[in-house]
Amino acid sequence: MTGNGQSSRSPAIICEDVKKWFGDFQALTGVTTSVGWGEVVVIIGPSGSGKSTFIRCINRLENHQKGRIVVDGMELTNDLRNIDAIRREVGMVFQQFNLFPHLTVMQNITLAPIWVRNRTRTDSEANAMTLLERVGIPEQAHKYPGQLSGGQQQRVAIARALAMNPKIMLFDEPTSALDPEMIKEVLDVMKELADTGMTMIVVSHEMGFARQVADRILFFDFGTIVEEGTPEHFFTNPQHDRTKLFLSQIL
Amino acid sequence: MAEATSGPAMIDLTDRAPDPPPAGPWRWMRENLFSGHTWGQIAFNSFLTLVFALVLLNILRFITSYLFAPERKWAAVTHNAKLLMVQAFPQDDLIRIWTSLGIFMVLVVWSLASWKVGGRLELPVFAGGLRSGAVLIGVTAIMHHAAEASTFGIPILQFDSRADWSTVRMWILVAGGVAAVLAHFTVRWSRAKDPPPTIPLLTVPVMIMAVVAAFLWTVRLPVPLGQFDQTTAPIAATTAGPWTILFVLAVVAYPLGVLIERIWPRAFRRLLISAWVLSYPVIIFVIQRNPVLDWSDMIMLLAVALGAGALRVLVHLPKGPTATAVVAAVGVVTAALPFASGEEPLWATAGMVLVGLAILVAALTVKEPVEMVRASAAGMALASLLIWFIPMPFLYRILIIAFTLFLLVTPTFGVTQRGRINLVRAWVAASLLIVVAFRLATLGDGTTLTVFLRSDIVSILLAVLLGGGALRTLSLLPKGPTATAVVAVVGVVTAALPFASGEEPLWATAGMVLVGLAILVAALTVKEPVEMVRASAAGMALASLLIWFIPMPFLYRILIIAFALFLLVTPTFGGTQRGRTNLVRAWVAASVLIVVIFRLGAANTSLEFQGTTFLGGFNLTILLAVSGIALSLPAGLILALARTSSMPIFRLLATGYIELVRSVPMITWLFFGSAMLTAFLPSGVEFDEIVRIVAAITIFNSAYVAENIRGGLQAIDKGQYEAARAAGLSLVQSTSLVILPQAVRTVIPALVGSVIVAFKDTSLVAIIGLADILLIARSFIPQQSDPNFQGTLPQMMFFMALFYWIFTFAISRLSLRYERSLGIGER
Repeated sequence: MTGNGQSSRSPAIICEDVKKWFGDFQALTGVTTSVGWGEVVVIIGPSGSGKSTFIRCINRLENHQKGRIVVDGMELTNDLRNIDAIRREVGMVFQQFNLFPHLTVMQNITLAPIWVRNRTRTDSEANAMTLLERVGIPEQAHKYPGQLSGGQQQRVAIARALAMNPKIMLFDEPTSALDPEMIKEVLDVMKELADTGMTMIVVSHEMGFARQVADRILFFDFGTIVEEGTPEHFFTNPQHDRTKLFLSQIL
Repeated sequence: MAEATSGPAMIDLTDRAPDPPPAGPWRWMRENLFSGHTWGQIAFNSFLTLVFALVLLNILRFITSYLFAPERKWAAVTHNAKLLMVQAFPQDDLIRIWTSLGIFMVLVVWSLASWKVGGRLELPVFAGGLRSGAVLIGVTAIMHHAAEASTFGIPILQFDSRADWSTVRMWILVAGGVAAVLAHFTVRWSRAKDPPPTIPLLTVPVMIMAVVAAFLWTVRLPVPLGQFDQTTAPIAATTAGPWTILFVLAVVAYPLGVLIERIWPRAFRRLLISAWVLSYPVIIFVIQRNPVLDWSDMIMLLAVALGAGALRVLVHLPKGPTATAVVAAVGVVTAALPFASGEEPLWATAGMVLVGLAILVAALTVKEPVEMVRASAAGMALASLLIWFIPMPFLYRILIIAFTLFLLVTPTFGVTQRGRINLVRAWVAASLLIVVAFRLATLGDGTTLTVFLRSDIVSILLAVLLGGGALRTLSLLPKGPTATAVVAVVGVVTAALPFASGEEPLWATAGMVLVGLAILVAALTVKEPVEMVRASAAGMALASLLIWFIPMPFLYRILIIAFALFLLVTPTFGGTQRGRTNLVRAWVAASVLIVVIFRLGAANTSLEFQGTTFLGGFNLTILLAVSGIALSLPAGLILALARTSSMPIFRLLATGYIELVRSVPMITWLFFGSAMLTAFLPSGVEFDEIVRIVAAITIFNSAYVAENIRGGLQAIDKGQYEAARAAGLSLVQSTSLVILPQAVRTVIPALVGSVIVAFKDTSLVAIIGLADILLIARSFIPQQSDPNFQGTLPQMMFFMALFYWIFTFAISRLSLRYERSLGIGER
């Protein structure tokens, strides 16, 4: 699936020696990788290894201090216009859903298309209904987030991110805050999304999902990529000792 | 029993929670007044209930006896109503007050119609309330009667009764009794129905207004003529007429508002919001004060605005009778407007209105908008021919003819949307051009074109337009040296413009131009537009510092500083195209506002009045409360955002401001506004005392509001902001659409507290000599020379307590309602 269809363009995301500090603590110690169009990359690793920080650097919720990040051909700098342009093309789903509690599901989904893409309300609402059907909860459109279950909220969050027609989707531990029986419904939506050829970067602890859906797995520790490879390589024949230890602890 | 024996495996889906026992007064009394599990408890609780009932009854009797005692002289309140309301406002100019109230009333009613406030009230609830009220009134009247006989052996108040009072009491009893019986039967009748019938909630205020109007016209109270001489007269005899007109206006305006709301819901709301914002300066500065304004200019501007509005509406409306009606109606008003100055004979006005009506009829009978516009245009053309035979200023004729011409060409050139928009622009431009040309031509009296061009209004207008134009260009241009050059050049011109009046030394002008050139060079050497704007902003900030050492009108300095500030925030808030366009609008609006404040806030007015200001009494209290609250809420919001901003300079300034303001008592700020503010302003700048006090109140309250809102901002999860930003919303959009609605909702109770305190604190202005309603009530009326009102301090204070209670209670109920309506998402 890697690079299909859009191979003539530059890769979706290029990272070159990305470094990031929080005060004295170095969260990213030099990450170099690139993600092709249509590729599904799953990032795994122990907590505190910099997975979330890395994914948040890609749409500049955190700013990297050294190195280079290029998304969709645009380099992330302090220029606000580039950042806004990139955020329009990159959707993000959070661990804690972060739906807007004062707006209905419908308003949550249509807010950004109306205000950022200048779409009409009617168009955005029609599009939102299509997306809600895709994630399987069209009947919840006029409820408030507080009235939904965790799994439903996360599916709304995915629909909200998709409403902007992003080229790239980032998932920051989308199932970590869910009850076990709700994890599947969210993973199913994500699988379906991967099948449509969306470029996705997923930070997750769901090994089953990684094995089944990922084109490539990045194993993070100490703020850098320790090992990367296809799921087959990764789960059956890991090279690095740290990877082996990690896998032995969680599998 | 059958379900119980069938075992836990069977779940009976028809099982329901047991019905609560029927509620009723007897049950309520048993549970709340005579409760208890043992006889001892019941006896003890019953004893407590009886004792406290007795005490409460006697307190109530004491109060009613006090209130209705003949020597209470409540006439002190009713017959000083004008004094309480407007203090020393000239009798001849009271129409200004009524006009203000009328504007306010219509705006309130239209807002109610547009926002569909109210809903429906169940008839049993309403009738039940009415019944309780009637019974209470009746009981009050009886209680007073019984008080004279001092029942239960407790002596209460002894006073002489008069025939007057017993008659009044009888009528109260009869009216209360009839109302209670009617209400009771309504309750029984409507309860039997399922679902119970409902009435619109808004009928309640209408009924209250009807009752008040009936009272104003019929109820006669003793009027003191001299120390021992009394006669009876209708209460508020002089105000019954205007009040009735206002009530009728409100009742008529509501269906009209509903109708307009149905036709153009969004445009109507936008119009209402701008009308509310505009009503504030218009009522204070133009209507209640005698402004030094040329009214013919105002009428002209109004005509231009109306004409433009009509064409604009036409542009957006689909063809049909609605468009017809709008254009025709505005045709009537525009045609009649020039005659409103009162200099023309009445028949001329009437004739123009008739012609307009004829156009309306003609326009309504045709189907297609093209024909319709042609028909109105033909009518207007006829009218513009007719007006040659009527004496009127030449300018009016020209404007009417221009409007006609534009209507005539609309079918030809206004086929496409773009063409129609351009026509509207052309109409506005042409009208303004005609007006300016006429003003120039009729300057006369030794004034020359140069003087006109050098007059500060013109240079201010130019500066505002140039500044706005620069920002606008910047928002449209792609990044690059062209944008840089445009901004820099306009920076130079704007900087130099205030010096063009020729009063400043040449070196000052030259210096400013040099500073501008330095900005240009600095701007041209940077690559990115963000840096470029920052560079110009820095240059402008430098310039605005420099100009403090150069003599020039204060207004110019403020405008230059405003422009520098706008340049400074452009990189932050101008990320998106929409944000930049909004910045341009904000710049123009802010500049116009600054100019208006300076022009209209000036202290001189030709209105003759006693006392310190043209405002007094209730009028002053309400004005201070409304402006203090209306201005300090947005100011507090901005301060709170600044204090939580990531930019250290904003954080520092806001923190410093809040800490300084909160550490000084409000009275000090009032003295600052009253006595010291003028000393801080440069010579030649003089604000009316009211404006200075409003400024002081706003300064004080905004600090408290800011801290309240900051509490709300801190309660918002950081994830909300990140989610909004990740979705592509700009900083301003994330803040205004996601963060602020949540933050403000959490702090509504605290904000309402601030609002109520601000309302009551307006009474402190008495200390600096402004006659607010409390000062009049506690000092002016009880101490005046009329012996009838001497020593009526207790009555006045009782009335004032009622007055403040009504307002604060209304505020707190409204906020509760608002909170409930927002609370949906919390579930």
